[in-house]
Amino acid sequence: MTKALIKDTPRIIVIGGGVSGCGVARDLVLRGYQTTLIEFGDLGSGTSSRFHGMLQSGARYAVSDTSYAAECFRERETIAKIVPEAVELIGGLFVSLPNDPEDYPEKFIECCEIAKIPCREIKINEVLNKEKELNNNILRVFQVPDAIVHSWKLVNLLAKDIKASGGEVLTNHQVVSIKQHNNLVKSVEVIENNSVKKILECDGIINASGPWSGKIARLVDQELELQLTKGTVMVFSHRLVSHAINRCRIPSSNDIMCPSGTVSLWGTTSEIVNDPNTTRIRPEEIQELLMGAEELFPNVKNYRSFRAWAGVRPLVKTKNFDKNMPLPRSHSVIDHQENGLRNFLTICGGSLTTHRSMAEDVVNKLGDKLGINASCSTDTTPVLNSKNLNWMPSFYFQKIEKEKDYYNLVCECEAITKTDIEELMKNENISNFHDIRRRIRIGFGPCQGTFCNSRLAEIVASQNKDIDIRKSILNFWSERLKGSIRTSYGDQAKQILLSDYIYQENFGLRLNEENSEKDDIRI
Amino acid sequence: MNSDVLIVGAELDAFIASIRLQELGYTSRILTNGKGSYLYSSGNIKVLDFKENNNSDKKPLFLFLEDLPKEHPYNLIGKENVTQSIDWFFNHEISNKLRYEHSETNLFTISPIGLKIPSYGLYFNQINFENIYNKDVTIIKFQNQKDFHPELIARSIKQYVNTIEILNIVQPDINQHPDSSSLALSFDNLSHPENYFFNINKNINKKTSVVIFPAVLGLNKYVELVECAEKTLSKKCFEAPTLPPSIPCIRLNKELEREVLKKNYIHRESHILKAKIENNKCLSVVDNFERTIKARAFIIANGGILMGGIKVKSNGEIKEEIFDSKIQNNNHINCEKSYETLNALQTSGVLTDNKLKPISNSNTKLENVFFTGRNLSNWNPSLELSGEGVSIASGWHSANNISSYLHN
Repeated sequence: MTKALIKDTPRIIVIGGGVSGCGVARDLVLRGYQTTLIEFGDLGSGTSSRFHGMLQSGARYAVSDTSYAAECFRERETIAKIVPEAVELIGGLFVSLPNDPEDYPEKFIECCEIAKIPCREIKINEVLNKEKELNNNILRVFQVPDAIVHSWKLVNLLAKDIKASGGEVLTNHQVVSIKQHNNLVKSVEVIENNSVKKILECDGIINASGPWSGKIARLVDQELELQLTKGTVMVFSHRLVSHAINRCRIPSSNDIMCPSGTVSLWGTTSEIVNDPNTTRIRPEEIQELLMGAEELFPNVKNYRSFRAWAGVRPLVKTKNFDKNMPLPRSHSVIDHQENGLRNFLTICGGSLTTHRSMAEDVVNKLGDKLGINASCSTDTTPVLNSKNLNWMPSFYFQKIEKEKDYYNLVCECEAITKTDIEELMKNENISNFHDIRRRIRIGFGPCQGTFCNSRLAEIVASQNKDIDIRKSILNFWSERLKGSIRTSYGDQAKQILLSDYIYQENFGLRLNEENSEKDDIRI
Repeated sequence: MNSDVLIVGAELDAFIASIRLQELGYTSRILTNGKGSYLYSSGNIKVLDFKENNNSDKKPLFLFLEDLPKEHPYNLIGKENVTQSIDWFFNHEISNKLRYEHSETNLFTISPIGLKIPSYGLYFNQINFENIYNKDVTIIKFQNQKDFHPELIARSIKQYVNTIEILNIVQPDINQHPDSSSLALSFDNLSHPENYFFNINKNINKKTSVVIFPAVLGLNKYVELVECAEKTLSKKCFEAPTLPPSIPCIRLNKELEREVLKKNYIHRESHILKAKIENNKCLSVVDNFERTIKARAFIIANGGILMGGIKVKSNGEIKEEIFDSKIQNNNHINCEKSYETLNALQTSGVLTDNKLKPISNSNTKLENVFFTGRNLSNWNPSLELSGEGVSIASGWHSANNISSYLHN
């Protein structure tokens, strides 16, 4: 590496390739650190992509955590400015129903004002005209500047920026051990693609591995007090709503519907778990989600839900936390100096919305420790290559219509073309279909890859002679199936039997114990 | 609107029932919402898969029926009836017209992604693994055709052939979209197909002895087209399946429909909403146009969960609502693994007696209602590869049972 050349710039390793890790690495690179980001799987394949997709205006936490709400609002403005391509500026509504606490709306207005979040009450008729699925019995509605963020787009844009600024991004690298000497971490041992061992030397480590932070900290004999909570999200076909819609009450489970891309996401449940890999969804959770959704959208059971997923959020148990209150959402920078370690920091808690300020905080702290005085510029430096447009699904469909590109179209649900796939394969390191899926959303739509999977395989087969096509098709299908069988009722039951018809009866692929995707494994 | 029998659904089982009823002297009326699933098949007639590794692939297929559970539709219908119904199908003039090839055992056809599919009946000139052993093979691909996968087929058959090449050529009508239906129609429309094949021949490797086309060589003139191609190219020519909708299925569907319409009726965009039942008999049904349709007997062939004949509720309950039939429910929502859930959904269906009459939730038995195909429980078409076989057998069997019921 370039270490010999730039002897005076410390080399920092960031562990975790989610939004936090990418945010930290970008901050480091822009301040001139030699930066290496290490990710166990693919970028954004953990918690970052397993949530409801809202870029918070902060209004959700206005009452429960006003200072965090204010931070959210500032960050929402910044993210929309520096990486507009990953954001849909759709606006949010807070809706109160007859059985919601009566005094909450007044507190809500007051706290939004304190947090400087623009909030205005709007007429119920006006809302019901725009949001046809909403319960007609709503009492009050407030509009706030919530937005939607496409997390995979965000992490991949951040990663491109990191690389363009001289940083290193290593995916499919698992950290196995961390070497220390004289209370300083010296190097990280990683395994690349489950096979090749490598030693990466460093002058400091930032642990940004979200719910896996505890596991990483244990490698240097540190204990983190984390509370892991699993949240399950249900995906409905179509954009049922045009705003992000929240219940106007103290934030809890089952209270957000977000339109995102071509679908809508409803969430979330919340249950404490021990293992960050726990993403199995129980049938009871789906019933709980449906009951909650029905209160806001009485007709919701008639819509097809084609998938559910779960993510694990890492919240930090602060020193004097009150066992009877929800844990604070704000982030913590954990310095392990007390326990003797001088150049190892953990950043945890927070949210996708505040990932940039989290990064700023932890890198400031690192600078203090290393005696380096470089100021943060991530709030004013636009992310490289982020197109100055808000992501809207119609954009891609319009493009295809205009160019009459129908026969180039591979995934009809998400408007992905053969050209998109070929370009991606040329420019990026693609080792399986999931890498393609996460980057360009292929197979994300209502048919969940039923029709585009084999077309994708045909294109990949003509470009890459080594990839095991049969295994790839099967993995892709069984991974899509894993999420979509959780909601196998109504039209979705028909859909998954149709895909079974096509894959098993027509294609001759066999799904069984050995080759079906295991639940608690991250892909 | 009176016929002897009302058939709900217009898939293989429904058509077979109608044609068989006609042979036995009864008229029928078919109601269909027009959203059939059969076009998603690749066109061959799969009767039953059997384990490749038990050294028995030379045994006649019907010996394997005994290995199935006793609640399986084949066992309800009875081995003799099943054998007879399949023989009946392959001896019918429709099969002769479509030139189905079949023998005592399964042949391995090539799926749209190149894998082995054990099939009992093969559509006209369908490629199978025996056709290609040690041959020099050329696979034809039409420009921009996205629903045919020569790369995938080539990869998986590479180990069996001598040489293989993929040849990109221009479709007969350059102005037509290269989807399967348009390609098939443009082949039908060729006034001089020999000129077209002659032009292709220049580009085909001289060594090639077997040419594989995508299965789009005509919706109507496929026999002539394949013969013309073989004559002009002086090579064996076969068709390999494309992604659905599959042209060989459309060919079969058209022939069945033509046969049914000779003496019977098909009402489209129609599905039933309720039934009038008295004294264990169904007297009439009401459809979505609020038409009351009377009949002496009813065949319910509307495709089970796959096609919505049976509904899955959001709490996981599975229901057949029109006749309130008892459901064999394998509680799919509590399965942990995907393949278990699929199996539970596939095998859930209506419980019937061995005449295919449903048993209702109040334990009464309807005398003149018969369920067929994917509505039946205790079979899994995708694991057994028995979709077409059970459809033919249950359609044929229900028609026979109606005949003896009406006769009495």
